[in-house]
Amino acid sequence: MALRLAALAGALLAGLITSVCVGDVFVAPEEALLLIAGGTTNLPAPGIADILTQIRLPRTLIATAVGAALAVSGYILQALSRNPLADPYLTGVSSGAGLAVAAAMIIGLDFSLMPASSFLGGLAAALLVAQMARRAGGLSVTRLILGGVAVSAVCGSLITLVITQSGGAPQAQGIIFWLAGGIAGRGWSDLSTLSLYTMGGIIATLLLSKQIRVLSLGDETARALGVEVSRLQWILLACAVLMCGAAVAASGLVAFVGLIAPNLARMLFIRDERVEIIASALLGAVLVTLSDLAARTLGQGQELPLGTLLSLLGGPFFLYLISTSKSEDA
Amino acid sequence: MTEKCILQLDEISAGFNTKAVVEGVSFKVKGGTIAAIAGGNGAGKSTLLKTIARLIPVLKGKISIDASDLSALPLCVLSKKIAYVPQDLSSSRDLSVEEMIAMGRNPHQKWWQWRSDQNDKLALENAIKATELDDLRHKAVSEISGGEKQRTAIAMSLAQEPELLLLDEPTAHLDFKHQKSLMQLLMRLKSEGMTIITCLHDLNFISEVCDQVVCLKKTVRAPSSQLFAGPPREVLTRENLQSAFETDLRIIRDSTDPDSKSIFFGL
Repeated sequence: MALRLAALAGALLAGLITSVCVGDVFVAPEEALLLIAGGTTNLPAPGIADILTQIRLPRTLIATAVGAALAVSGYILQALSRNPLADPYLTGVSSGAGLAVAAAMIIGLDFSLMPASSFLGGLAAALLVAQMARRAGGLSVTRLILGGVAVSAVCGSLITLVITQSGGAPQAQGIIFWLAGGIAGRGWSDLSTLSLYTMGGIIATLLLSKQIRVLSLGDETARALGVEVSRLQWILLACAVLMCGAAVAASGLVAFVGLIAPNLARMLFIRDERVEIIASALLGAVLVTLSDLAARTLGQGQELPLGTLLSLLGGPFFLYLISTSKSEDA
Repeated sequence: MTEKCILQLDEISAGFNTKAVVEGVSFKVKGGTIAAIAGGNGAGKSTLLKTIARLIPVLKGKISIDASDLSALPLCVLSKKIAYVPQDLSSSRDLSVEEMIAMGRNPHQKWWQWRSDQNDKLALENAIKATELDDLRHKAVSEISGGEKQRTAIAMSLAQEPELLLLDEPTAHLDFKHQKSLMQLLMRLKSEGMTIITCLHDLNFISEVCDQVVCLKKTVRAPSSQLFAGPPREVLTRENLQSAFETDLRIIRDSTDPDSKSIFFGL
């Protein structure tokens, strides 16, 4: 188990180094590491150092944090719903965030305010869904998912309305690109908020990992075993929303990471929630880092949308999970 | 055997939201005894048991445990005093039998604590031994039979080391051999001072094992109510049972054994 975790961490490190070194201009790994460490290098052009430290490095770290945040957010939602097919998008967070960004773009808010708009929109959607799912003694999981689907559908329709009624405004193109998901243009300032929420969320989830296991027995049995079920569900939901909201604010709509990473983690690591949470975060980080690398290097002169690339991977994985699911309800 | 009254229900009404399923239930349970809640299908046996476990709020009346108001006890205290075994225990995780039973130690551990101390290990081993699950301890719960799952659920509650054990239809998935083994286990736990309340359909099991039976009766368009309560030999009469189950039956006692508690019910 420790070996597999170490292998995952190694894969992430390799992915990080590759992502920093590979691009329009290739930089040798040893030179990149030297530059990041603050040393002097023999790079041919001085601008390359800026590209590495001000563009590629923060972008790569943002991709890593987005992947980890979405993955652990997905892990929490799957634990809460006791359904491996749950995903951060089922809470309506992403659609709420998308709608807020679309509205902000149309009314011409400054671009620096987009992450805040996205975060608040996501939070509002999640609170609305949580309110719908509220019942005596906790959250109704079925209502949580159905409410999330309904909120997503309404937000999706409103986004389409905003785009079609914008009268061909140039902002509409921006909205469409944001919705497709991507990390282009993000910098160090975006990373600080995102990493704070991601680290906080992962640590809180790890601390609650034993209670997550007891919750797997169902609300009644968990309560009989001393778990304050309602409080635990609210705390876990808050963690999931904070991580997912922060990720959407940084990267737009990136789907399926919260589905793929926790399920792969459960396949690789049997029956230990703590390891599964760490493995989910690492797998999510590797997945988004490599996908972002592919998004900016495989396109013909223009970046591919990150969200689209991940949906191409995630869609078939989702179908695979459905076909192999043991549960009739899943 | 402790003669002190450990649990007392006074005019209890219980149900979901504000709708009562059972009402007017009053009885006392002495420490170190076994009480059964009996009644027909839909009479509210499980609802009453869950109310005692505080999984469902009391709508009217009062439940006292060790002379303290049940509703006032912090959950962390309550979960050390009362263990509840549901009819069907399942987990969305594919855990082993041992991992499942170990969760019974949750009330005794810190909420973030994974590591088991000596007390946890001892309680786990005792629970596994008492339920004869040693051979299955490393097997996945998804791969064992319904009866073995039932024993795992009971083992989990024993690992909780409660004063009061609540069992919801514990014989539901058990064959005759394991029913007998469960009878022996309950008798042993009783002799060690544990108090047990169980929902049961099996009147023979009640006659053999229980010190007291509380019978609920379903009423049309009204909450169920308590029909009778008392020692099985006194209250399990033909008239009472005909009234409780609304069907005719005969009671056959073992004439060869005058001390036998068992009563067999015939058509």
